[in-house]
Parts: sequence; C-alpha cells; structure tokens
Amino acid sequence: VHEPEVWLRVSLPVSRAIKAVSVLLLIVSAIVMIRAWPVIGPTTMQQRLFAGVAAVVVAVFVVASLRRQYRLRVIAWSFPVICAASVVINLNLVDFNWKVLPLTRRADDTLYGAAKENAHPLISKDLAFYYWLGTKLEGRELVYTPETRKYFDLLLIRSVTRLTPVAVDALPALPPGRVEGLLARPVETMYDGTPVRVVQDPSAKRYVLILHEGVLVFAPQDPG
Amino acid sequence: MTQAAFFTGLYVLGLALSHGFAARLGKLAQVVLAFPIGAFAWVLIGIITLGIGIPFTAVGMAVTVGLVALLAVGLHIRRKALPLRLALVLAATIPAFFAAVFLVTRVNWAEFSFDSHYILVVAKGLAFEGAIAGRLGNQLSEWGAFQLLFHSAAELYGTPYFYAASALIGAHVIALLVWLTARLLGGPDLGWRHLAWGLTAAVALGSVHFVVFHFFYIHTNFPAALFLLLFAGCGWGYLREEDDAWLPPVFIGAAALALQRTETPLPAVIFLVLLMAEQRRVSGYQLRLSFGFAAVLVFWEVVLLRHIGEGTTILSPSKVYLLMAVVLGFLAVAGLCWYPKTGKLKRWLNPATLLALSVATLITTLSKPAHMSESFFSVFANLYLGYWGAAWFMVLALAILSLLLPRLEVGKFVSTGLISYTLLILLLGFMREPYAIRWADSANRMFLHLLPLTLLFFAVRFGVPLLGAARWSAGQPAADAGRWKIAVEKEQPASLPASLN
Repeated sequence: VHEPEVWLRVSLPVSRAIKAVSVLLLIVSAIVMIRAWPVIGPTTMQQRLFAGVAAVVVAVFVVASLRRQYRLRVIAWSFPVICAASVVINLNLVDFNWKVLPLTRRADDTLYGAAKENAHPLISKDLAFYYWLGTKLEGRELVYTPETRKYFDLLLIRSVTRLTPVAVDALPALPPGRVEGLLARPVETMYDGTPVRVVQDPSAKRYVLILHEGVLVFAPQDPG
Repeated sequence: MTQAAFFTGLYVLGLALSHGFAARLGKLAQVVLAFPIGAFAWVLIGIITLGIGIPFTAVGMAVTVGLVALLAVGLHIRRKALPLRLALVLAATIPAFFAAVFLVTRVNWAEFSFDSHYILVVAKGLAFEGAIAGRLGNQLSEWGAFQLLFHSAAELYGTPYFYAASALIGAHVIALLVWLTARLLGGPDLGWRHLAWGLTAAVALGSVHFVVFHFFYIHTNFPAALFLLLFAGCGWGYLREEDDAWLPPVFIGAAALALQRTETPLPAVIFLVLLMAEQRRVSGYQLRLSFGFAAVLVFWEVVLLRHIGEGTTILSPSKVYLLMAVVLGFLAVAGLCWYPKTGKLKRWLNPATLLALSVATLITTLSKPAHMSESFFSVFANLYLGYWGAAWFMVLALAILSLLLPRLEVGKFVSTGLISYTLLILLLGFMREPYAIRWADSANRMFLHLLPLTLLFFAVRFGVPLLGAARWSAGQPAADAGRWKIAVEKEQPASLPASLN
C-alpha cells in the first residue's frame, strides 16, 4: 500500500474490466467535455465535475499502463504541462466560458473589485493613508461607538498618550507629515456616542478630526 | 528614494551576514538570500532594542545595523573568506538591487485592508514613541513582531509607509522558488534546465490572482510564505547534501516565520521537528542553532508578557505561556534527538506529529461538528471556488500523479509538514468563529503560506526522474550526487536506459 509500484502491479493485471471501464469513462467524459464547449451550450457543474474526475481517472490508468521507463517520463513531463494548463486558466488565455464553475475572474469583477466590496469602505490605497482616510471622512458626521471604534483607533492610536487640550488655532504650527493626536480625554471614555466631524483646513492641506473636546490632525507629506 | 535606500541597506546587511554560509551554497544563493536575511537581522535588532528598553530611534538602529554589517565583513576578511574578486562581484549586485527596487517604488499599487492599516499604524507608533508605550503594548498581542518592526522603519526614516515591501517580498518568493528548485535538482552545478524547471513552477505560482494580489497587499501572509519556503527548502537541501551551510538559513527562516503572525511559532516548530525526524543525526551545531531559535522566540514572548496586559483579543498571557511551552518543548526534543542514547526517538516524531494533529482534528470535529463542518466547507469553497484560479486543482492533479512516481529518499518532512500545516489551519478554526467564505478569511490567506512550498515540493518530485537522476548518473562523485540517487537507484531496474538511471 505504501509503495505505488506494488499497488499498480497488483491492481492493473487484476482485471481487464478496469481498462474497459476506463475506456468507457474516457468516451463518456469526452462527450461531456464536448457538450461543455460554449458553442454547444453551457452544462451543469455536476457534468463538468464528472467529466473532470473521469478524465483524471482515465489519465491515471492510461499512464499507469505504460511501460515503466515511458511512464516515468510521461509523469515527469506532466508537471510543466499541468503548470502550463494552470497558467492558461489563471490568465484567461483561452475563454472556457466557465459560468458555473468560476475558476477564473476577469479584471473588473475579481479580486480587486471584491476586495473593495469586502473591505470597509473607508479602506483603500493611496499615497498617504491618513490623507486618504481624511478625504473619505471629510464632511461626514460619524459617531464613535464600539462598532466604529477600530477605525477611529487607526487615527487615535497615537493620540492616547497625549492628552493635552489644544486650541484649534494651534493647528498651523503642527509639522506636515505627522499625525498628531491631541485629545482632551482618553479614547476609552468616548464610547458614549461622541459625534465626530471631519473638516479640511485648506490653507494647510490638512484634515482635522474634531472630537468632543479636542482635535486630531492628520496631514500627508505630499498631499498631491 | 527612502524605501529603495532602506531595502538596499537590508540587502547589504544580509550579504554581509550570510556570506559565511551562503558562499558555500553558491553566488546565486548569496544574492537570493541576502534581503530576507537582512530583513530578519533588522527585526531581530529592533526586538532586542525594544525588549531591553533602549530607545528605538533612527540613528540608534542605523548605527547598530552599520556596526553589525561592518563587523561581519571584518570577520570575513580576517578569515580570508572574502576574496577580492568575489567581493567585487557581490558589490556589483548592490547598485543593481537598488536600481530594481527604485524602479518598483516608482508606482504605488498597494492594496489595503483594515489589517494593513493597523499593522502600519502600530509599526509607526513603535517608531514614533521609540518604545512600547501606552496601548501599543496591548496591540502587540494581535500581530507578529516581524511586520511591525519592519514597517516601523518607514516612520523612523521619514516616509509614509513601505508600499513596495510586498512586491519585493513577492519577487523574493519567486526567486527563491526558482533557485531552490534548480539547486535541489541540480546540486552545486545547477544548469539552465534546472532553472527553467523552477521557472515553470514560479510562472504557475505567479499567474494566480490571489498571489498577484499579495504582491501589493500589505499583510503578514506573503512574508510568512517567503520564510516558510526559505526554511523548509533549505532544510530539504540540508537533508540532501548534509552540508552544515544549509542550517543557518533553516533556522533564520524558521525564526522569521515564527515572528510573522501570532500562531506561526506552531508551524515553525512542527516543520523543525519533522526535519529532525528525517535526519541521520542531529549535530551539536544544529542544537546550538536550535537554542538560538528558541532564545529569540522566548525573548519576544517575555516582552509580550511584560506589555500586553489583560483584555487582549488574540494572544492572551495564557496563550503566550502556551507558545513558550511549545518552543521550550521543541528545544527538549532537539536535545533528546542530539543525545546519542535517545536519538532513536527521531523515528517516532513524524508519525507522532501526524497522528496527534489528525486525532486533534477528529476530536474537535466530533465535539463541534457544525462549527468545524462550516470551517471545512468554507476552506474548500475558498480554495476551489475563490480567487485562486486553477491553483489548487493543479495541486490536486499533481498530488494524484505523484503517487505513480518513485519515492525520494529525503523530503518526507516537506510533504508531512504541508499536511500537518493544513491540519493545523483547520484546528485553529476550532478556537475561533468558523472560517467564512470570503477572500480575506484567515484560513484562506494562510493557505498562501503553503502554496510556494507545495510547488517546490512537486517541482522537485516530478523533476528528479528527468533532471536529477540523469545528471547524477553522469559520473559525478557520490558525495556530490546527494541522496536522491539512492532513492532512484532503488527504484530503477538495471535494464533501464542510461538517461533514466
């Protein structure tokens, strides 16, 4: 059982029926595969799976029945062949029109689109994500709750150790490229539905997150 | 520019530190291993700095890293291990590396999820504070140390974040896959056919949507895949050639893997144990490296215990103690395998690991059938109907066909390790909410750790009958032939054509 060679030597001569069944499977799978071609029309997922499994079974038996030296060579060469087939499918080099079994995805409806769907709407890429986050938050009234906490934590994480109240007119003095948290009280006390507003400071090209008793400023080094 | 300069600095650091052993593996090895080893060195210095309370600053880190690199180069020169010609060749690769990275940093295609932001913000927080201050300590419980320390350099050196880091890591996954395949098949004199075979596997890997996405996605999974590939691939090289030069990258890769995520110490220990199980003997040198591996992890776990406090979401103090026990347990097993009178224990490690994980999977499934079924189904659906394209169908087909190939004498630890890691991923689902059908699902992303190593395994498995055996039969001395030859000779009857012997 542990040695494939033994298993093959025992099983192959056991019955010609196995080979007969293999040939039958080959014929059936060929028919199903032909049916699956988009010219003929789409087939069900079960048909395709059956065809795939049958093709694998037949391939294994055909290869196993080869003489040993050819068998090793054929199996070894199947590696680049299978890799190439995988590349063809992955890159959609051939349109298999696989509607039921979505092996491949096209640019717009695939991962990147899905990533944006699944991820929180506040999250994306940009040169400086604080800046980006600012553009998304601008003008919104958000409520600081346990549910939204983690998104605010992104902004507030650096602020929790700085609890000095600061007047809004001190903002222009802040260096660009820094995220400065200036809160009047610890974040933990803000689960009471504190309203949060995001506004832009056009002169400094910064976004200001106005909290209940303090402000949080975030600005990119290169807003452009 | 900052990114390119920093990454090149790590490359130079890696070249300096790895030269002692990588030179014995070939020039290509030096170039391919330099960046991952340099990155690990940076992280290790950062961990020590933060752990013992030295201010974590740009100047402090730059000076320390510079001194370490200079010390390493000085040692190589003193030992006369760095001939001028080789030094010039390696030096010439530095501007080439810089130029390549500089080009990559011209575009920012970084992909973010919430996790990405969180990693970067905690990383920036560490650099900004210069210490583990405030709630940062608590947040360390949610991430491995590696990415936090790596990305903290962005804040230290005044750039918003390292958007090109993932692409660089991905490029190294591809390069490592090609080099390891070629090296394992061709030995020290690897040729273009071996490289082409490795390139085939790399192209198959690089064509997968989910892999392409990770070239731009800032997270822990692609780095984990890189270091698992480095660690297990070099372990395989060690088994084949039994040259100690393979061991440092094994343990560096294992430690780097363990520091990637909160749970990755477990697969790192499992693979190390399985590697020992397949060795003829465990040397004193390997035991010392095992001590080093354990020391790094235990040190970081002590740092976590000091700082994370209560109310954490992923790693609690009790889980940290558990991880520490696993690492120390590994050290005990390594000691037993090294000690001559208990060395026979090795033969039980492989079946015991598989049995333990299988039984644990069975018990957890029986105890929470609905929960585990949902997890299994989600994993299956994500792998076969998700964003992996044909990748896991390819793996399935290769796995079936490989049953018809003669077994290799060495490399069982890779296949057992891959199965064990798969079981471990399923088991981890027991301790949390069930895995879900979505691309960002934890298990789905963790399977990325396995794919490059799986492709390496099959590339070598299928390549040996065509490339490995033929080459080794061409009159090479037995010492260079490696242990594949034994396995292939056992399988081949004398009547076969010479090309297959």
